[in-house]
This record gives sequence, structure tokens and C-alpha cells, in this order.
Amino acid sequence: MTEQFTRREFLQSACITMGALMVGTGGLEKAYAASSTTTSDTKMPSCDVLIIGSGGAGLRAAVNAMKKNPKLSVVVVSKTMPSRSATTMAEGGINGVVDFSKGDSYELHAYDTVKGGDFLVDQDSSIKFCKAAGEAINELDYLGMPFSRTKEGKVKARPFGGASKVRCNFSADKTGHIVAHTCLNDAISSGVKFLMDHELLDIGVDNGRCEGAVLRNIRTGDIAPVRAKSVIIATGGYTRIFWNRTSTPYISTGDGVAAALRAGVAFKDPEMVQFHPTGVVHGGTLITEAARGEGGYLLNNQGERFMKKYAPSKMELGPRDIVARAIETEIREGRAFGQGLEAYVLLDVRHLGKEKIIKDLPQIRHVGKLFENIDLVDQPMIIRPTAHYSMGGIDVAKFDDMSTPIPGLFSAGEASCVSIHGANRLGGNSLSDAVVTGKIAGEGAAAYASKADFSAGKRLHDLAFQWNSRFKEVTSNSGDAKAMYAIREELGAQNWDNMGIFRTQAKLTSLSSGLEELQARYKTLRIPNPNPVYNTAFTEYVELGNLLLLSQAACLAASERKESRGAHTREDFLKRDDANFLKHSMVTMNESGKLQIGWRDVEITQFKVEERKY
Amino acid sequence: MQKEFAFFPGCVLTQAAIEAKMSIEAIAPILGITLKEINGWSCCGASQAQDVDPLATLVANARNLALAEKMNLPVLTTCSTCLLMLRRAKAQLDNGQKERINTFLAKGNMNYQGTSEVTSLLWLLAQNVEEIKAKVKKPLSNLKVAVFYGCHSVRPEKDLGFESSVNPTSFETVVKALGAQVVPFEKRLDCCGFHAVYPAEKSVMKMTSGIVNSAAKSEAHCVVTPCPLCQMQLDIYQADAQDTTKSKARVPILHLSQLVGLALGIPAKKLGLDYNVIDTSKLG
Amino acid sequence: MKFIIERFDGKKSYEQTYTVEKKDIEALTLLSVLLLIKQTQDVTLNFTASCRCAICGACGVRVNGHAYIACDSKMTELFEEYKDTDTFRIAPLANFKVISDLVVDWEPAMENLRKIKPALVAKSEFSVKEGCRQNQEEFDRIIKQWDCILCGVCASECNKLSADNSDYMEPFVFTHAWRAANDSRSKDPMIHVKPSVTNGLWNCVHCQECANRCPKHISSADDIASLRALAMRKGLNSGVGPAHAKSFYTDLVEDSGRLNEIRLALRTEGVSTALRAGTAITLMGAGKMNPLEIFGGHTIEGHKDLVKMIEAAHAANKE
Repeated sequence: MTEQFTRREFLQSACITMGALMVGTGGLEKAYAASSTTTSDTKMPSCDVLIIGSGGAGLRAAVNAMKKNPKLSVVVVSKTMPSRSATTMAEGGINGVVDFSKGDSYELHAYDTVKGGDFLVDQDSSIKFCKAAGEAINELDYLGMPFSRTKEGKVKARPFGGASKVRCNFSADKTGHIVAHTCLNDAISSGVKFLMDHELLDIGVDNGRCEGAVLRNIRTGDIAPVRAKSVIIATGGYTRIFWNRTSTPYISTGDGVAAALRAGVAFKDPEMVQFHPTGVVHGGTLITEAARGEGGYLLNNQGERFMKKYAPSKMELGPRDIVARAIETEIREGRAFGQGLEAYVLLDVRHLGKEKIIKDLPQIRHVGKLFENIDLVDQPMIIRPTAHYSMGGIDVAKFDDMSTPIPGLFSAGEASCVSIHGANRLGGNSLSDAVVTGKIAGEGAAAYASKADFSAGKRLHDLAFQWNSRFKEVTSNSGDAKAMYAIREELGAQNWDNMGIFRTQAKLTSLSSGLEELQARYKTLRIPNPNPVYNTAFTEYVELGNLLLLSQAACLAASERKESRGAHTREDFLKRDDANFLKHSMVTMNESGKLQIGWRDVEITQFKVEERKY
Repeated sequence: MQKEFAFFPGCVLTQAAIEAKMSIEAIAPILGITLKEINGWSCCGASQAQDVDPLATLVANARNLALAEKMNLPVLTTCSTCLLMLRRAKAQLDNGQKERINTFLAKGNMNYQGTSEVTSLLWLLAQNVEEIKAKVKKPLSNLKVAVFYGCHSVRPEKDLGFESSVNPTSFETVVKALGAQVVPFEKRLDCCGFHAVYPAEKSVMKMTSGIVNSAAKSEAHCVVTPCPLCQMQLDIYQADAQDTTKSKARVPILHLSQLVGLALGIPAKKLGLDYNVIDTSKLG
Repeated sequence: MKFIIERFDGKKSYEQTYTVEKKDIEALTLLSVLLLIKQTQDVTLNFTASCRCAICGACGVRVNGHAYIACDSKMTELFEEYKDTDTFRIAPLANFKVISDLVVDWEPAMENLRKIKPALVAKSEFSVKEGCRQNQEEFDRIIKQWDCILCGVCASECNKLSADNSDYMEPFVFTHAWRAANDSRSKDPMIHVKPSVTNGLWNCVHCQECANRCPKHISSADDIASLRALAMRKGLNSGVGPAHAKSFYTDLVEDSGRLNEIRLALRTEGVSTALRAGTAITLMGAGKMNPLEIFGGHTIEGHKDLVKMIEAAHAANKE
């Protein structure tokens, strides 16, 4: 029963469903009890392929699902308007080998990726990924992405951190924005349907199969189950667990990862979060690597270029993780400025001269003025590392179709974890990941949906009921919104202080109890806004719940991974320990809601595990 | 203050808005301004010709500017669209197009150098408020005025650049210097619709009517505008526009130069006030 | 300092005033002020924001009637712009349907984007496998328009949309059409130009608001003009709009060198069309126009030279 899906029909059917549910509180329960006796609710809105998230991955998934089987109804759900995604914020470029003339190859790209990921990368998948990334560059070109060009009119690439060859293809200094809009244009022209202003609350899994998702129409407040033959989670990363110490957008709250975890899928490598060395002190926005690339100095409170102690030959141009650790060390050892979360070191570009700053670093100068009232021409910028990318994510069982272990549930982009990035992502691989895994997931989900039937949707029904009750319970005319924001701020600070760049058992143990205390406070939160119409406070409440859950998962894995690898630095276990931890951490939730950890071996094929040296 | 200008009347002053020409010619000598009309000036393209041929439009304006340069004088115009078109052409020429366009101007033995600035009557007056105040003979103290800037006297700011485009003050300053009261006027920065009156007539009539009604609501005795195109739109089409929205209000629409003329004590007839379509007799 | 915010709760519209200390907000952006108000004074206040660094386009709002992206607007700059004010009026973007407070509905705009088919349709010599070829100059030509972040600021300011949105589209939609049509890799610009023409290309009122307010300094007004020129070059020149534009050009190049209002009316709408010809007659009646001008008027001095210059430009452009 393929049901052709239109937005109007969805809204209509959603209204009908909601109408049936919302007959006053007493009536609501009766209505629910009555309808729950039937195994199949034909009134439930549905579509064949439901994609959650409208960044690069979600949009590529949608177009390719439609291409794979034009008969399918494909819908992209987004809590904002598409194009407000983290994809737009990437600046540097998109990796992919298109020029083989100087000895580059997919294998070499894969090797760099594996090594960059400190060998926590699944090697076979990484080769497939790099081949697809190379092909994706030409495909994006064909779809209309304006790339900067070589003399021969080919796509232009620039050198990038951790890459042994030049393969970071780019479009000026806003490659991510250009990729996002190329994907959006393609989706629009291809007739992809959007459900904007809808947020994912939960994924329904029953009898070991994905049934669909519970969505909240933020505009109306309606919470409704939507059945789908296959669901793709492409909701992006979860770096907002560090709240104001991340470069990612407000919406990167890991909603899809949290929903998948609750639905029984493992959260793989949750402790693996990349830190970028240069973020704005107030708010964490990125200062791009160009500042150092062009010759900027990093200075401590002695006026000293401290990188000489940490990377004497490369100085400020050392790899991201080394520079980030160096800055945090200076802060910790009292050679920085400011206190607590507002501690910082200086990034000085004044010696480059006014003219060069204005010409070559306009964006960075703009960010300095915008967030810190600092003109880089006259003053050094104040900076601190910032959480930048989630290597961990929803466990993907099979790279070939980006399926999770649960039939009908797929994932793509930063929300997913194959793992391609292992313990540390290579610069330029995030955009490739979005478009490559998005496409594969779209095709995989379409292939699955072409053969599958809709499931009964019983679990979905239950979940929708629970969320409706929860909205009623949590929102009212009384309550204290400040308590919610306080939890969010404390969550960010605790995660940063204890699970940031330097981790120890003591810190993580203290974080674990801290998170429990925050969870307890969260459970008693009441939001003083009962209005269902565009209740952004409730959205923030839902997001905060997800961030707390994901923080607990990351904390558990960080405690258990008693080694240092890639972005995960344990000061009490400074060495990488391949004998015990050449494994993915797999955090799952049991039926009573408790998080548990398991491990899965890394897929090692052609590349020998060796020490990561540059 | 700069006293002598290469005057660019613009097409509308030679035809549909002769009262604008009469009034500026009447006020100039009193204010001590000498306007020397540029011999052989051509249409600026009126923000329309570029839809057909942007290159020809640029060439024509390069020629206009080169003609003024020959006179060794800065350019003054009253029409905001001419102001925008000339300033925009100048910006294009000064930012890389000069050499190329000069090869075309050479066909008529002309050359653009970039020596003449382009200004408007409004800006000139705003820069010399004290002098104007001193010359006011009949302060317009009983007159409530709604000032209507017109798009191309403020937007785009990067081409015009005289003042903030969202919070301009030059016009209010000038009108106050004439002794008149400036009333709060919601639509002072709106568009009259003139440039699309043919293709988008229905919308334009609505826009025109909205402006007239907004002025009437603020109890203005008249709307004053520095731009003869806005004046033409709001004056000539006012009756039609008000009919389409079934509005009764009628508000006289004056050129800036006419208002200045009244304050300088120049007789209404010399300012061409009887050429205005909506009756202005109560103002003179 | 007072912030008067226009609110809408789904049923009723009202204004709400929030008071903040100037010293607390001086160093902030407008978005940070909105967040401060939401987090410390009124959690029911709704607005959207995502990237906070002017690349995602989520936080467009109006300040004192003019559109800004909140995250890219420093309060110090707003103080400078609106001198001596101790009150700011914050409103949702105009020309969008308001869903709640400062949140607007993007769906109709997305439907308009669909109309102009924003994606490139590549020339047949290119392929998915091999990609395309484009030189740096061709890239430079279109890249400015690719800065568009779909923030809606241009649409909010558009005088034509305010008057009537039924026969027009958001200015950024035309910019999207422009960049697809002017891409050297495009198979056929008309894929994007035709729907632009049928959806209001000629209805732009030239108010320059879009060009003036765009936070990325894109001029949709220029893109609209350029699309019009392209449409006419490709033979889409019937209708009032093209005739109107052409008559200016004809006056400039082929006739006197100056514009003639009567000829303009006649050329645009034809002799029999009453209203505008009637207007010209009103003008003559008021003594403003010389009816003899219809037969030519005075040709400007040096007109032959002007024509030569334009011909030279055309010849050079063809090379």
C-alpha cells in the first residue's frame, strides 16, 4: 500500500489523528485506549522514506532516494527551514581525489583518513568512502556547485591538515555554504517535499523493525506519529553538549542520535569529539585555520609564542589536536588570561599589516569585531579551543547502504558513525561524509522501502501519546525557565571542564555524578509556556534532554576508554593501547533506561596499525 | 558653498515637470547658485534602458559626465533617478571600467577622467542649512509638511552614500530650515512605484494611494519630494490611484524647489505651482 | 533601553515592551539581546537562530521597520544608525506570513524557488562522471550571487511584494534564477528565465530596497535587470514591460537622445490604450507637454557621436 504523500494530506491526516487524541484529558485517555486496541491505525500519516534533517546529508539522501525509485514518497523533515544547517558553516573544503596526475589515489586518501583517525577507522569502509568522495566532487560540479577553478577549468584543491596530497577541493572560503545550497537547489528542482518546522521526538521500533517517527509540528504544536517504511536520521552532530564552547549551530543537539539510542541502536564512539584550536572566547564560533595559515602568532600572557614548546618545527601550523592541547595547557598552567570558561590566549596577526588583514582575512576580522569588539588590525584576538565535530554517532552496520542494525532505520552524515573518522576527523572530510553517506543512505532506504510494507505503528502510537502527555505535564503557566537555561549552561561547563581536551578518571567520575544531578533537576523542570504554537522553549527543553542523555553516553565511554587516541586524551593513560582499545565503544540503553557499554573490533584490512606521527 | 554647477536637468524637467525646472531656476539666483546646463546631455537611461542594454547606458552616462568635466564643474541634478544612474556610472568607471569605456567615447572625441562629482539639490541644501536659513523671507511656520525622500535619493546606500538610508535626516533638516513643520509620516521612505507604472499598474496605484493616505493621516498640508519622478507619480496619478482604492483624500505634491521658493518669497506663479495637478492654491 | 517587540501568539497580535540596561547590551549583537530577553525575562518570546555568524540566514528580523540579520548586527552599529534613540521596535520580517512572534513562514518562498528550477542543468558535453569545466572568470561572474543565504531580508524590504505578492516573487528568487541562467555550464538559461518572466520579472518597481539591505551585498535589482535583458535577447519581448524598457532605449539611441513621455505612453501600450495616453493628454491639458514632441522633439547636440560611441561599444562587446 504505497500512499502518495502530499504535505496537505499529511497535515490533514495529522489533524485527524490529533483530533482523535485530543479530546480533553479524560477523553484523551479514552480515545487512546479505544484506538490502541486496533493493531493498525489507518489514519496515521505515512510516507515511504522519511528523512530527518536537511543538511547536506539529508538533502542528498532525499534526491537519491527519489532517483532510486521515483514511485516512492520521500519527505524531508527539518526543525528549521532547510539551509540553516551546520553544513553551511564549513569553510575550508571538501576532500576527494579527482586529480591522479601527482600520485594521489583513493587508497592514499583512505590511508590519510585512517591515520588521521588514529586507526579507529574501519578500513574497508574508508576505501569505499574515499572512492565515493572522489566521484562526488565531479557529481557536485555537474549539479552546479561553483568550485574555484584551475587554469584548465577543473575543480581547484588546496592543501589541508593531515593530507599527504592536495585534494581539498574548495569554493573560496565558504565551501560548506556552497555545498549546502547546491544540494538544496538540486532537492528543490528534483521536487523533494519538505516538512519545515517539524522536530523529531522519537523513533518507533517494534518487533525489531523501524516503524517511523514521532514528530512535533512546531508551528501548531501537534505531536503525531508518522509511519514510514524506512527512516533516515541525518540530524547532524551533538557538539552542543559543550553548549557555548562549540563552533556548531544552536540546532546541533543530536536529536536523532538520542532518539536512535532510546530506540535501541548503539551510540558508537560517543567520546570522540574533535576540538578546534581557535574558537571565539564568547560563544565558540570558529576562527578559521587561515589565521594561522597566513602567519598569525599564538601568544600567552608572557607574550611568548608558546607553540615553540609543543611543535618547534611547525609552530602555529601544527595539527589541530596538538595546538588545541597546547592552548589548554597554557591556560591550565596559569600562562593565559581570564578565568574559568572565559580563559583565553591571544591570536596575533598585527605583524601581517593592515592591508593584508583587510584583504586576506576579512571574515576573521569581521568575527573579531562581531563577538569580541576587537579589530584584529589593532589588537590581538582572544581565543580558546572549541568543540567542532562529532566523530561518534549512530551505529551504522553496513556502509554499503548506511543501514543501522535495525531494519528500516538508516543514518547519514555527522549523526552517523561507520566509522570513517575514527578518533579524529581529517579536515575536509566532513563535507565529503555528508554528501557520500547521504547518497548511499538515500539509495539504501529507497531499496528497502521498495520491498517493505508499513508496520502497524503501535509503538509509534504509544510514543506519540507519551509525548503529548509530556507536553501537558511540562508546560503550564508556572515554572522557571531560568532553571532550564541554568542546567544547559552547567552542562556545557561540566562537560568542558571534565570531558574537554584533557580527561582523567577523577574528572569523568565527577562528571558522571554531576550529570546525574543535572538529570534529576531536568526531570522536575517546568516550562512556563503552555502555548502549543511555535513553542521554542519546549523545543529547547527537548533538546536539553537529548544533550543530557548524549553527555552521559559520552562520559561513560570516555571513562571506559582507558587510553589516549586521537581527540580523546586521557592524562592518566597517555599512550594509545591497541591491545585493549583498538575497538569502537558501543553505548546502548537497556529496557530500564540504563546506559551500558560494549565494544566492537575495528575493521582492519590493508593498512598496518602504526604510531601516528607527522 | 560650491556656487557653480554643471546642471543635469534630466528628461522629466524638460517635459512633464516644467514647473520643477521653473522653480529651480527661480531659486538658484537667490541662493547664489549658478546652474550651467550641460550642453548635449542625454537621457541617463532612467533605470530602464539597462534592462535592454546596460553597456549603452554606461556609455551614455560616461559621455554625460565627460561633458560636465569639460566644463570643469561638479554635476548637480534634481532628479533622484538621474542622480543614482550618474553616480552608479561614475562608480563603475572609477572602479575599473574607465579605460574600456574611454575607447568608445574616443569615437566622439571625448574622454572621461573622473574629475566631476555628482550631487543633488537636496544634498547641496542640506550641506548649507545656515545660509538657507538666512535667506528665508517667508518662514513656512504654518505649513505642515510630509517629507517623501523617494528611493533613489537614499538607496542603494553604497551608490548614494550621503547619509543613512534607513534613518536619513537631510530632508527634514532642510524643510525645518525653511520654517515649516515636519509631520511624522510613516511612508517617508517608501516607493512611489513610478518606474513600474506600466507593467505593474495595479500594485503601483496601491503604493501611490498608500503614500497619499499616509500623508493625509498625518494631517500634512502637502507632500514634498526632491525627486520630480516621485512628484509626477504622486501628483499626476493621484486621482486615479485614489479611485482604485476608493479613497477621498487629496494632498498637494510639491517639488523641493517649489517649497524652497515659497520660503524665499517667490510668487507661486513663478514656481509653476499652477502646473501641479492636485490643487496647490491654498499653499501659495 | 526599551525593546518594543511585535508579538503574535497564534491568535492575537500585540506589542510587548522589554527593558534592558544599555550597559548590559552595548557589546552584544542583536541576536544576543533577543536571547538575553528570552532567557532572563520572557521564555515565551519566539524567534529562530542557528549559526550565529551570518551564514545560515535563520535570524532575519526588522528593527525600526528595516530588515537585518540579528546575529550580524552589533548594537553599537544600531545605536549609530538610529541616533539618540532609547527605543527599538523589533518586528518579524515583512512580506512573510507570521507564525509566531518573530518567526515567519518560509513555505511560500520555497514554492517560488521551485518555480524557477534553481539547480543547474548542465550542458550535454558534461557528465556526472567527469564533472564540468569552467574557467575562473566564469566562476567569478556568478559567485557573488552564490553568497545568498536565504535570510529573507530582501523580501521583507520589497515594495512590490508589500503592494501585491500575487504577481511577484521574493527578490532572492530572481537572484537564484540569475545565477543558474548565467552559469557557463548551463545548457539553457531559459529553463530559469522563462518562469521568471511568467512570475513577475517585469513587475519590479526599482525601489532598490533589496540591493540596499542585503547583508551579503547582492543586488537582486541588478539581477532582475540582467534577467530582463537576457529575456529580451532571447526573444521574450512581448508585453508592457519589455515595450516600456525598450522605449527608453529607443529614445536614447534611435531618437532624440532624451525621453519623451508621450511617445513612451504610446510605445508602451499602443495608441488605443486609454489610460496612459489619457495621462499624457492630461499633461498636455495642464500645459506641461508640447503635443508636437510626439513627432520627434529636439535631437540633442552630439547625438550622432553618442550613437557612434554605443555602436563601438557593441562592436567591441561582440568580439
